Amino acid sequence: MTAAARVSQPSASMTPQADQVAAFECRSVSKRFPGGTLALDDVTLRGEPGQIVVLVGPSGCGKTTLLRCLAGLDSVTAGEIHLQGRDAAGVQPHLRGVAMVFQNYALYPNKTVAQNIAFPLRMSRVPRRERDARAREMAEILKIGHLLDRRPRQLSGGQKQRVGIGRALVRRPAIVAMDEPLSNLDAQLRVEMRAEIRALQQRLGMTVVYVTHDQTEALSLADQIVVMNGGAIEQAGSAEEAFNTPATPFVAGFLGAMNLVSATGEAIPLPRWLSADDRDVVATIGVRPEHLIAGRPPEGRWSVSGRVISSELLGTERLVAIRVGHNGEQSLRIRVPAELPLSSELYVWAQDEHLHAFDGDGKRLNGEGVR
Amino acid sequence: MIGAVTAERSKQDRRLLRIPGTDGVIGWILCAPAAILLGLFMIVPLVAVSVLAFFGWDPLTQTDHAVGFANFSRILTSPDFRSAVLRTLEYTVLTVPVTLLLGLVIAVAVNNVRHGAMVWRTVFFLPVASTLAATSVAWRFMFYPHTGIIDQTIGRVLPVQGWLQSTDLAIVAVSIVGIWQALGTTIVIFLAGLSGVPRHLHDAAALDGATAWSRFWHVTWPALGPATVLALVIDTRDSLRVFDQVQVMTEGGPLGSTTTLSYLLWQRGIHYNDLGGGAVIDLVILLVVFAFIGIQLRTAGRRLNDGATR
Repeated sequence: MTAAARVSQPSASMTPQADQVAAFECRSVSKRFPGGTLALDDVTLRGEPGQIVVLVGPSGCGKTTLLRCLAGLDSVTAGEIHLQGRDAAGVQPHLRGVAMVFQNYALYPNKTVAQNIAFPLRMSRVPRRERDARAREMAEILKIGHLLDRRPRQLSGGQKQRVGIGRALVRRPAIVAMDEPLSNLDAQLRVEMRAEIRALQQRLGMTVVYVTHDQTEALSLADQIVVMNGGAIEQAGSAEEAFNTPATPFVAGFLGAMNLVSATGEAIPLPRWLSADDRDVVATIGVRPEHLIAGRPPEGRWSVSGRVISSELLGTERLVAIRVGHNGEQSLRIRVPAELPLSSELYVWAQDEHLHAFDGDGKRLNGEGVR
Repeated sequence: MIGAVTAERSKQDRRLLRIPGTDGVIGWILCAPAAILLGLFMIVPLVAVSVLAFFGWDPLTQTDHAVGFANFSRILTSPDFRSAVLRTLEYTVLTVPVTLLLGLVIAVAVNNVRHGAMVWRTVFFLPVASTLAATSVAWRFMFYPHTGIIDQTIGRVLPVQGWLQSTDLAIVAVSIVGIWQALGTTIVIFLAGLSGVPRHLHDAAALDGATAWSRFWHVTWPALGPATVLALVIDTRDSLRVFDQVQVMTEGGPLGSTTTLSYLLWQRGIHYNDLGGGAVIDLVILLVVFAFIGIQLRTAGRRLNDGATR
């Protein structure tokens, strides 16, 4: 990932290409706040034009800080941010071609919907007639054309966020930064808006950098998912990649709540596919609750047994936790059919390809030949 | 559904709070301390003044006697009174707009100071914490003709000298002290208002390309609505009742040019032993303050309620 490798050549195509100018690029970006907190730790990331890049992670992982640095609301302590191939250092927020949608909408309370949407145009001195027309057009696209004369306090949460999105898109930014835009909406509306944001993004062909702590939202929206933890990137790649082959135990646990058990001690067997070298360094074994099968294992399969400690009905399935390991100090969650009679002691097993292994530094061990 | 549950709940709560056989007596007892204080210090004096306004004091017989509306017609038609009304309005016009504007500017400045904001806040609030009558003495020395620091500095540059002896400048001098005193409270009110301006609105405005001035005009100023109305009402009320620095610095002079309503009230009621006349002036001040605040809330109240902070 060197700067010299990229030649400035704008392309209308949406598929990422090696020679295409990145929509945005962070090179070894670090951010330390005046208090001393290191919010971003050597973050390197590239977003292709027309992608939805989702930054996901727990609270305080630095995802919002990264977004604010991209938008120019915060400055970076070290490293470079390039937007459309140009170094963004010292460039004012409104000149970066980055618009932002806020979690709490950040609408101007004393302005009408139309005035809110048209505000960025007004600030860049677009003639009144044109900005009215563009605000109206934007409102129609977002299905809030009938609300133009309302004020924010007369709107529902979903309507407010549509106005926020309209205000961000009206000046046709290259990049739209969305900071947990759906977190304040109820569950059903969140799913609807998610689909609409996706449709809108494809229709307008913009690059979206989307911050969320909701893994479902992240997986469903992302062209590129970026899992962050403690200010650093744990894994960046396609959603399938991050979900199917998590690079670290953190990613495995965060996306889809994988079971992670310590591989040290006799009670937990190791996956058969681990090479001899890997067997020496393996520290953690992971398997998803839905990949564990209850019952006596076929010969040679990875399996454990344990005492049932809790059982939670999810509907057609039941989430059962069992105690496993040397002294029974570890637990595994497993999804079993709800009608399955439960004994106090449970055998569970898994297919080889559903097992994940990580070494003591949290690096993924892939074995040889198995996948 | 949820509403019904909450209603049921609050009914239960009320039942729990009620002590059987007391029939709300407890409520009255709990309200009593505040009600008694309010009565003693607000209602009783108001009634007393209203009654006094209809009585005259005869120095010869040393007795009170009812005089009907005589006090009103005597005071309200006197040139002293009309002059005092004009002086009070003049003082209010001189002080309130300047106080609000300066207060706003200083509050915004202090709010943006990166280091030592606490020091600045304290500095500007000090006049409020000190006694105006006492600091007015210091101001009187500063305005002292020829030898005072103001004549020694400003007086050397500008053709203004002997402030407190000039029928034109004395009211300005008194106003300057009034502004100096009122600034502290005004700044604190605006600072409180500024702390309520959501940061994400400023972020949004910065991304929308708003300049510092546009950000103030489109984000800060609308959000300061309630603070502005509060400061306006408080400063107007204080200005209409100005007394301390007039008493200490000019004693209403020269030639009555700083005799405001409150000073006239004191002069009449206490100095001349004309309690009835003083009471009339007091009622007038009360009415004027009510009228002003009423008009202000009527016209600016929308800003108060808008509370454009969300």
